[in-house]
Amino acid sequence: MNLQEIEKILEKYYNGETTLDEEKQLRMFFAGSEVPAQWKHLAGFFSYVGQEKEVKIESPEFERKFDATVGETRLSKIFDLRRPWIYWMAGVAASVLIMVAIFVKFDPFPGKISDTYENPEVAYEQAKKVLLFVSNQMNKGTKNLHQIDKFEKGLKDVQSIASFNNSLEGVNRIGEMDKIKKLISNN
Amino acid sequence: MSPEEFKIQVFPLKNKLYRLALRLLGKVEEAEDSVQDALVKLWTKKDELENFDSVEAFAMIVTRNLCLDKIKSKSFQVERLQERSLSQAGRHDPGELMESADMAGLIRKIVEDLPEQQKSILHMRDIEEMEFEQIAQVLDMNVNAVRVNLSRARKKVRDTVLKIQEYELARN
Repeated sequence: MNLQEIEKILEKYYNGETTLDEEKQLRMFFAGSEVPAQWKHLAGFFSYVGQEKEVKIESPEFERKFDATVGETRLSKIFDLRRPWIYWMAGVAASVLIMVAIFVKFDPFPGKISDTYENPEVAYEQAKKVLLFVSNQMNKGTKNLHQIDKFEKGLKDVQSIASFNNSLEGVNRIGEMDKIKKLISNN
Repeated sequence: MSPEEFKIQVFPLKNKLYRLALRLLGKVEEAEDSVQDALVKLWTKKDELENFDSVEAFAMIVTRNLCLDKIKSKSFQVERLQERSLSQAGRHDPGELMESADMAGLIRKIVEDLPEQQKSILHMRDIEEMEFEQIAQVLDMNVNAVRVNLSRARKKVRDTVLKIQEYELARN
């Protein structure tokens, strides 16, 4: 590209009228070695532009930090009491409990449960096996409950609200001031 | 937008947002924090992001606003004042930069001193190669005003360099 063409594009460039394509041509020209002395500052400018294009976030922790923050807001959203489905779930859980209670208490199928083992020792062994199985499954289930620990951490923050009370007491004293004022004015 | 879509479409904008934040704030840590905040804010709005014609423009708006809030904050201004006085103590004069042929470094200083709006426009056009329409959207201006301000910014940089060059010539 000859210098006259460059000069033309430059004029447009300084008027904010160049297209992205023309600006690319300028960058390419000024990155080259045949830049006339009067345009040295433009070579500097486009070299600055080239450097800035390469700038990236330096912290290697950036993404992990974002994931951590977002993960927390996700958890607190799941347990957000304003969500209607929490009440649905609570309702469903309650009805299941009531059903179970009725079955246990009133045995809607009377006579169905009878001794199936002749030998009480065999029966005992069998019962032990079943109970062990149930207990194992229970332990597996409770592992997930450790997540509740995270909840407790959150609660600690809530406790700082207590410090509010202290300030409120201070405000109450202002009320006493009013009483004193009244007394003074009455006298 | 699902969390997965967010990770693919929005999160990778982080470097572009970071460059804008760094241009405005001038400090690596502050800029990273602002981008972090901007991405979290976008995440909380991820269900609405599909309604924007350009998520990228919206992401830049959010980032820029956070940066401008930060610049306005007192603590930021106090810090900046302190840094200025420190850097002035050991300041190179521009002529020296010229001699060491560190023209890009000199240009960086000149761009830093541009008014905020001109700086943002020059950044989005010359470094990020954004279309005028998109820049106008980010800054809530019309395209013509963007062109006018871009022209001013480019001329200001040129004139400042030429002035320093002249001064240098006269001194030698």
